[in-house]
Amino acid sequence: MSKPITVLIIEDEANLLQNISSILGLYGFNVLQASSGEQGIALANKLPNIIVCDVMMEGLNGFDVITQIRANTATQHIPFIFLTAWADVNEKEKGLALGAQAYLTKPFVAKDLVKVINEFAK
Amino acid sequence: MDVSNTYQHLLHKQKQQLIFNSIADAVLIETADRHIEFVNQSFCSLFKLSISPEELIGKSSTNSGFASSFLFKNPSKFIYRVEEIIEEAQPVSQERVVLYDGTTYLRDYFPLIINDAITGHLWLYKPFTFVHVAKANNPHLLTIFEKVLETISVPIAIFDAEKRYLFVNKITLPNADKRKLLIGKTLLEYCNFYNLPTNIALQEAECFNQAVDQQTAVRFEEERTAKNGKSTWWQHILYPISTNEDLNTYVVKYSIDITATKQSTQVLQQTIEGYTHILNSLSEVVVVADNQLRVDFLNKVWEDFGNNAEYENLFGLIGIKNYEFYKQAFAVLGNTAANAKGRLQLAQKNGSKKWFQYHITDGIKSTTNDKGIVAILNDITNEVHLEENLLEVVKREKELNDLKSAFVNMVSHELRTPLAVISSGAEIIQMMLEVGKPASDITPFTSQIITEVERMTAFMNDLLMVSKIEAGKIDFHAEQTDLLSFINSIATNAYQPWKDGRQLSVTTKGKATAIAVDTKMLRHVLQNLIDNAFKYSTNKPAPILRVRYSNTYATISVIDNGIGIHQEDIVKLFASFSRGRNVANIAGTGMGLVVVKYFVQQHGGSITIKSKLDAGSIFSVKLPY
Repeated sequence: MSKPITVLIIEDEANLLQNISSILGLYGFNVLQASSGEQGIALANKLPNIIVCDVMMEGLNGFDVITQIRANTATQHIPFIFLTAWADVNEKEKGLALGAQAYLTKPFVAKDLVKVINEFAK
Repeated sequence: MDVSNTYQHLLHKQKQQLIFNSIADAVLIETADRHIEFVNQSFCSLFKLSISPEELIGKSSTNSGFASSFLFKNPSKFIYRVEEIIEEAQPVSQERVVLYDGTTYLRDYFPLIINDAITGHLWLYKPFTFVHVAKANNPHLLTIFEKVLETISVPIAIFDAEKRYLFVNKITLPNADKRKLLIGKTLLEYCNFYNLPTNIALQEAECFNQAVDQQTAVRFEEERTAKNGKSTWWQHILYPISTNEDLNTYVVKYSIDITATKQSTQVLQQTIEGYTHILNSLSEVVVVADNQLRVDFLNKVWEDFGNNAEYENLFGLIGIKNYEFYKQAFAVLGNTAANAKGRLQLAQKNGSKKWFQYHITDGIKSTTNDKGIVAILNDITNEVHLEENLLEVVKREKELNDLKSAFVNMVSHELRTPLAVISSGAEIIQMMLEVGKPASDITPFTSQIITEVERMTAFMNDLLMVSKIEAGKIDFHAEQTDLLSFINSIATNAYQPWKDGRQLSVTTKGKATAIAVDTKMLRHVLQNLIDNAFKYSTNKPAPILRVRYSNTYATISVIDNGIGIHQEDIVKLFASFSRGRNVANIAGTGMGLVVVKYFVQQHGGSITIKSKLDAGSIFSVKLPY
């Protein structure tokens, strides 16, 4: 049996952070929880297999986070998925341009999130 | 005896002298040996002799003749002919002599013979004129002249210097008796005689004097109304005539029927007045200028617009700043453009500014046939203002659109987040049920779903309220209210107790004063603030509502012991919805406070927040009486 995939979840909405963690736990992923952008960047140093990140957050927002992750040679290779309520097309393009592998919008279906994680996780 | 004879002789001489001096013709009487016995002033004048006739008496006329011969076209011929006449001793009549300047005289000669002996010579020189010639040949000359004048089909009259009629033709006065009566009288005398109006006679007399004084033709006009009421117009011309031969002045008057000209002038004048009236009643300014842009015509509309019309040319009228206008005007004058259009702005007398649209076309100056221009100016101030307003509206529309899309994004975001919690919670419940997890594991997720639905509902309500405010559907209706009983009714209704069993306490301070409030709005404000106070102070002492009456206002404070608000966020809470493109940054419940603030402002009041993290918040609403 291969080593389970570790997912870093960055989400400032506490209930949602909890729910996403529960779902991914039930699907057999290892989960790292961050309730802010700053915390997420710190946890990225643990080199998760993939990062799932919100866009609109107090303090550092999702775009700030990916910019820093991509700027850091240690973390720049980590696949990055946006999971956001920000459904605007322009925002999606901006997110992808900053180096994200996927841009998912809320509300989401668990299977879709799992599928995207499995597709991009290294 | 001798003395008496001499006296008689002298008397005779004087008489003779008087008679000859009164003759206009030049007279010379010589003795037989050609010494001057008598000469008159006219003779001296003709031969340009600088001494008086008296001084010439006794002098040799041969010498004088020689001295004066230079006056003649052919001096030697003159002298030869004089000697020849003397020698022939025969009368000579009407013989032409021509002076060096071309004027011609007629010479008469009579030898003075007594007892067959020549005792002297009489010489007469007269100007060669039609009258002299004709008179000499035909004593009825004047009758002929009169007949000639009668053949001319215009009224003609001749006056002496005293304005007396010397002649008047039939056309002037068909009645022969009246004509006869008129001769020798002035027109004024004639009018008085016949009791006729004298105004024309007086006018004529004035013109007559002017004509004589200035030696020039003077015209005046007369309107005559016939018995049938028909008017005719006459132009009378008074022409002064004076000659060297006749020192008297005469005045010839002839009259021309100018009725047709006058009528067409009147028609033209009426037409011009008609067109001017039309031009003045237009709503456009019409200005006609010549090729140097001097104003020939400017309709009244210009002044009606409050513009200054006291300028001679367009530069003054329109102001030199509008150079584009002149550029186009000269282009039209120079034929490089058939017409031109544009806009210009003009300062009015009262200092305000108006916009005009102009249209320039070429025109012809009728008097000189020079090219000119016609410019028509249309007041488009209102249109320009409308355009400006429209641009402003478009700009605001765009801002609103941007705001709207930011708002839609915000709403979308605010709904998607609880939906994500709900949907993920539901999926977790489903998975738990599939693996047979106990109900106690599932309960937190079901209550989570209920909370999120409540959150969404509250958000939707806020949204609805904002949209009502935006649409102007919320009117402010204030009525005198007893604040304390109003607050107590709200408190007992929902907060005594609150869902979790805590009780809102209400306190007052100061003398209760009635206040005009919109109860619906104030109810919304208070419920919102009290809800928040309970929501953010779970497991803490219950919130307090304090009413404090001051002199000019009442303050309602909602005090909680809750989590508090970060100082930076307090500002965001009050960020007005309509103010911000940054509306998307108003996270979560910010909407509710936007409405609260709006309602408080409708009362002319204000809302302030004091807060300390983990200690609690005080929301104070100040309402003026």
